[in-house]
Amino acid sequence: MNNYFKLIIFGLVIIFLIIVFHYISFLNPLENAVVRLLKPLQEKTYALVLEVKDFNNKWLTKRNLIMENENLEQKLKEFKVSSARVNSLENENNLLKEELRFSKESPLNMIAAKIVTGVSDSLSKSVIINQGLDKDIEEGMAVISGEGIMIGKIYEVYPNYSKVLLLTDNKSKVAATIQNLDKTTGLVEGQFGLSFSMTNIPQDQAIAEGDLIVTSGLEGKIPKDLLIAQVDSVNQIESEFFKTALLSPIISLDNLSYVLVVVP
Amino acid sequence: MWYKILISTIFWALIANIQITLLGGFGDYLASLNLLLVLLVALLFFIDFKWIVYFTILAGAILDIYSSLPFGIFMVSFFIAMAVSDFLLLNFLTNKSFYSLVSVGLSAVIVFNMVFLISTVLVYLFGFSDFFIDRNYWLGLVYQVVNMVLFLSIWFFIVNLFSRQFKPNFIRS
Repeated sequence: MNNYFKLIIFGLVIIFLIIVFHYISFLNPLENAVVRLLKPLQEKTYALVLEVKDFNNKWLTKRNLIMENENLEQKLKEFKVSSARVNSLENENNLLKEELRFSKESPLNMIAAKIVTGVSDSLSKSVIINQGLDKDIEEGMAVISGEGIMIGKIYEVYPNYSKVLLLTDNKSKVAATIQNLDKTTGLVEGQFGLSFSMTNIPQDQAIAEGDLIVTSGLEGKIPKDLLIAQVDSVNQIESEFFKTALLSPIISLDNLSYVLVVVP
Repeated sequence: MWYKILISTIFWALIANIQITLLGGFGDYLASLNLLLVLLVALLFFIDFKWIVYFTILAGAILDIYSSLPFGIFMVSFFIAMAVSDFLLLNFLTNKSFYSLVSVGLSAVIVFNMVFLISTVLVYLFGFSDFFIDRNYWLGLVYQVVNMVLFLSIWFFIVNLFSRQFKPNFIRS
C-alpha cells in the first residue's frame, strides 16, 4: 500500500476519533480553549462587520429612510389617536383586574449576552453568545433582542458560551400564535437562513397581512407572548389540510451585537 | 517541526476566523467564498500531502466547533475533497499549469459540496432533524465555483510574477 492511501486511512481514523471524542465530551476543554482564544479576535472582526454594514445602511439607504420617515410621521399621527384609546382601555383593564383580584404578572428574568460571532453556511444560520452553563443557561431557552423581539433559541450550551439557532435557520421550529380573532396556533419554521414561515395553520383560520406572531407558550422554556414576526403573505392551496403564512421579520437578524436570554 | 505546527495552527485559526466572521457577515455572495478550501487547493501544489491532511483536519475541526450542523461534517467534507484533489493531481494532471490548478479547484468544490450534502442528508435521514434543499443552495454552489476560479486565477498570476513554481510548459509545448 503506498503512502497516499496510508495517509488517507490515517486521516480518516483521526477524524473518526475526533468525532467520537467530541460526542463523549472528551474534547470540551480543547473546544472551549479554541473559542476562548479566538473570542477577542472574533469580537473585533464581528464589530468591524457591523460597522461596515452600519455605514452601508446609513449612507446608501438614506433615500429609503427619508421616505420611511414620512410614512412613520403619518403613522405616528394615527398612533397618537389610537394611543389615547389604548390608555383609556388600559385604565379600564387595571380597574377590572383589581376588582377580580388578579395576581400581578411576574416580569421576565433575563440574562444579557454579547454575540461573539455569527456563523453562516449554506445550510444553517446561528450565533455564538458569551454566556453559558456558568450563567445557568439551558437548551431551548428563548433569545430576544433588546427590543424584546424573539430572534432564536439556545441550541447547545457549553461552560462559557452557547450556540443560538436563529429563527431563520432551517432547523429552527418555535410554537407560535397569530394575534388574530381565532388566536391561531402553528409552527414558525426557518427557511435556509433567509426567512421564516408559519406552517400547520388550519385552512378555516382567517389570517391577514400584518397580523403579529407571538410565542404560544406551549414550549416549556419559552414564555408566552414574545413577539416573533408579522405576516407578510399567505400561501393557500385548497386541496391541502394546512396553509402556510410567509413572515417578515420585525428586526434584521444580521446586525445584532447584544441579546437577552429569557429564563423561564 | 513543532514550530511549524504552531505557526500553521495559528494561521489556519485566523483564516477560519475570517471565513466564519468576516465573510459570513457580508451577505450571501461573500459567504459562499470557501476561503479555507481555496487556500488548501492552492497549497496542494507546493507542499507535502501529509501537511495538507493536517491542515484539512484542523480547518474542518475549527469550522465544526462553530457550526450548528452535526459535528464532523466539515472535517469529513474537507478531507475527502482534498484527498480526491490530490489523487487527481498525482494521477491525471501531470503538470502545474493554470488548467491543472483550475481543474483541481473545481473538482475540490464539487467533491466538497457532494460530501457535505450527502453527509448532511445521511445525518438528517437518521432522524436528527428535517432537511430541505432549494434554489438558494444551488445558487450558492454556482457562486462557490465562480469564486474558486476567480481566486485561483489571482493566485496563479501572483505566483507567476514572483517565481516559476507554476511552469506554463503545458501551454507552450
